[in-house]
Amino acid sequence: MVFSSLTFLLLFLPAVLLVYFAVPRQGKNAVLFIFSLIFYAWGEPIYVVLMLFSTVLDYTCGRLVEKYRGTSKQKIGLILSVCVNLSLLFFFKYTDFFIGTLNGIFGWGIPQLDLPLPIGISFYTFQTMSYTIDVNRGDAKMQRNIISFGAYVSLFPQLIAGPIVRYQDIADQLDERTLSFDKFGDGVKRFVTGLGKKVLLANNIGLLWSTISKTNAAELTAVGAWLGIIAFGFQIYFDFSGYSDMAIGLGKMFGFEFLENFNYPYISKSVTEFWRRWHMSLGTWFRDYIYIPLGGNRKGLTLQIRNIAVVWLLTGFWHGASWNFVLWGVFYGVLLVCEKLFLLKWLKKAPAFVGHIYTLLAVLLGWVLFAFEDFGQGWAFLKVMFGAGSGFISDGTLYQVFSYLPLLMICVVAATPLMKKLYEKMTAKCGEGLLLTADSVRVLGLSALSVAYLISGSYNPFLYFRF
Amino acid sequence: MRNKIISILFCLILTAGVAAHFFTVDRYYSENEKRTLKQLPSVSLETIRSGKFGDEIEAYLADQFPGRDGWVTVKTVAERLSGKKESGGVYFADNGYLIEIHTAFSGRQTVANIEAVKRLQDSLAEQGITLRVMLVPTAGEILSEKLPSYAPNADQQEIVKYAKKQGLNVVDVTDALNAHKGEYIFYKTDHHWTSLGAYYAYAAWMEAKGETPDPITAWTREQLCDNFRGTTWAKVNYPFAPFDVIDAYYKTEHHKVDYNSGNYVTDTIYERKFLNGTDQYATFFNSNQATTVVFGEGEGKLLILKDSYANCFAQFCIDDYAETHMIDLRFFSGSVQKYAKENGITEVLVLYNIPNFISDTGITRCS
Repeated sequence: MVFSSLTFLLLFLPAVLLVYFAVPRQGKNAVLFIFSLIFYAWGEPIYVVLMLFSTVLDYTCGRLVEKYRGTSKQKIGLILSVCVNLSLLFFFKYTDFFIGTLNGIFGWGIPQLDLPLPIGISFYTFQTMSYTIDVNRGDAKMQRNIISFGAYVSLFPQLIAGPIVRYQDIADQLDERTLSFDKFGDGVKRFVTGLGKKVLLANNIGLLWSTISKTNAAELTAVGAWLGIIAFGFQIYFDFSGYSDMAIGLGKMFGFEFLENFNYPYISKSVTEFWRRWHMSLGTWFRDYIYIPLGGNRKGLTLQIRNIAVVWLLTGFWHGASWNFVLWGVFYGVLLVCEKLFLLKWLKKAPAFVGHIYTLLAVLLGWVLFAFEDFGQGWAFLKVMFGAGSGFISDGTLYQVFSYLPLLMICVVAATPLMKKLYEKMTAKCGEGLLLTADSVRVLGLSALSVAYLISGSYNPFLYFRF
Repeated sequence: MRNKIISILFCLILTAGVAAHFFTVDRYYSENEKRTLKQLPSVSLETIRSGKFGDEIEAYLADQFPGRDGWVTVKTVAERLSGKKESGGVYFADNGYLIEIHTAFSGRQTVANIEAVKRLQDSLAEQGITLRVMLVPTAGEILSEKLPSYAPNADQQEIVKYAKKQGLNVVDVTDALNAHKGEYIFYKTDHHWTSLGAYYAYAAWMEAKGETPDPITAWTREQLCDNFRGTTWAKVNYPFAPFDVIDAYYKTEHHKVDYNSGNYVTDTIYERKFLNGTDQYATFFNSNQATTVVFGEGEGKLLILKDSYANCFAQFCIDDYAETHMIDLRFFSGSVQKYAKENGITEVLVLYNIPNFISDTGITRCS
């Protein structure tokens, strides 16, 4: 199930809220656990088994670590957990990719598995690993209650698309969290904002990208290609950050405080800064569990560069089982090393706009690598951006520009902290009445518009059949 | 305090959504969309296991959402405000015109349909029967000046040229329609031409046959309704769109009409019961029927292979013939040649609007 579906909004959310707030405190984690399993099972019932297996396994591993703490066997639980989680991830996500690559290189005919990817597996395997690692390191206490642990693993708000919640960040909240109207109201506003970002901005600007990306490279113009990749950049940002907003908002409604996952990445002045603002929970995960254990920046420049390379190869690979994602990771790895070595110093001396333009260009070029799984298509698109298509601009491109200009402008504003700052200023200066009106309009307006778009998606007059 | 009110507001919204769903009766059919709506799916272990049940529930919720058509209106208005020049496959053109978007045609179906008609034309010619093809450009072509600036728009003349090159006996009505494009020849909210537009094509067809058409004043004009909102409107459900007027033209008010070989016989080509519904264009010849025969006072027997564009066109030609037969290939499964032979057909007209002509898969069955 996804948040931006009528099933979620009309059936699941009302039901889970009702039951969650009706049961006493001791039962709340069980309610979350059960509903999360239903949420997960909705699309692919079989893989619930996988999730339950993961839950039991990591729960046991946590106990093993605790039991043998201080002895030579302490690491058994840790190693078991990491190996099994990585194997699961590898088996379901990467097997076909490697079979395909091997077949391609050696001309073998190994049949592919063609298994559907279990939803959210990249997220929850990372979360469960963080649990055993945190317990092993003593960063968090072992969870005795398997229901509470199950609620952590399967927690539906962040199950499908993150943020990746480290166990240590949420351990205390699992056992003890406060529920209040204040939190709930904040959660509502956050959730509705995320819904709007996903349904109104991402889906609609995504239409522009899907038209342009389907156009034959020979018919595409340079302006069209740039417009397209900008549209893609907005689509992926509003889609992903909208989903994170919804997750954080829902979390608040249920009393959780998740860490932020996006912080206006497109206003960055360097790629280093961009990655501190984009998908922050993934960056934190790689930093805490890979980069720092490898030695981070404390063991000299050469090793630091090696560590950056490792992290970025893995980051690229994590995003998808295809070489273009690896290349995308390498692209960022190289840029980040360059920035570390000299570029950041230069950028600091240059006027701010240089940094902004450089960052946006780098990110947009990155999106080209990201968007096309087929290298040939990606390369052809890149060439069109730099003038190898059918000219600079055409009537078709002009129509797209005019049609989407207002939406693009809304996207630009929404990608900056402008509205947030405005809201903060309002909060400081305006009376309660005005603020309440603003909040109500925001909640009512965004939900009504989102519902209108969700329903219209299925509105499909079938005119020729009966006419 | 503020957050408390917001919390309660949100819970009210959710409750209202749930309540509205459970206390409204599910609809079976959507007049606007002309399709049956999804009903509550039945549960089975198999559909749950495959995840199909989830998809069906989502489709059901969307189809049965309270005030469904109104929500589409909200979306259309939002798209208009956000500067979009199109919505749901329809351009918002000048003067309130809602015009169907056609940006590309399927080459394969075009070739197949034109080949099929050519074969029919050749074999009928051997029996001494002339077949003509009237390819009618739609509003997107004739009224292209009204389209939004730079709007992508497929060139329908390419199809006419190609059909001629392949040897089809084409009656080109483009010039006739272009000459009158300032007049009310296309509906603003529907993909059809008006009766007036059909008359100009009729006149061009008569001239192509070397005959002189009667002036439009030879027919009595009767306004059938002035509150028509058709197919392109249904796609956007746009409240600020204009209403269309439907006119009927007849020399004599009554004709014997026989639908589907005696299935339904009546004395008028206007099925006025449709004027009370939302589908008023269906008044002409009882919507779409597999076969229709109209009896007139003229000579010869005309067979029209057609889409719904012929329904108002036929008003003008039925008095010229003893019998006018119409076949809708979407619903007719027999052999056209056999039909022509058995009914003593003397002349054949293939009448389609261009986008339909090259996309209708029924046409390949005509030969």
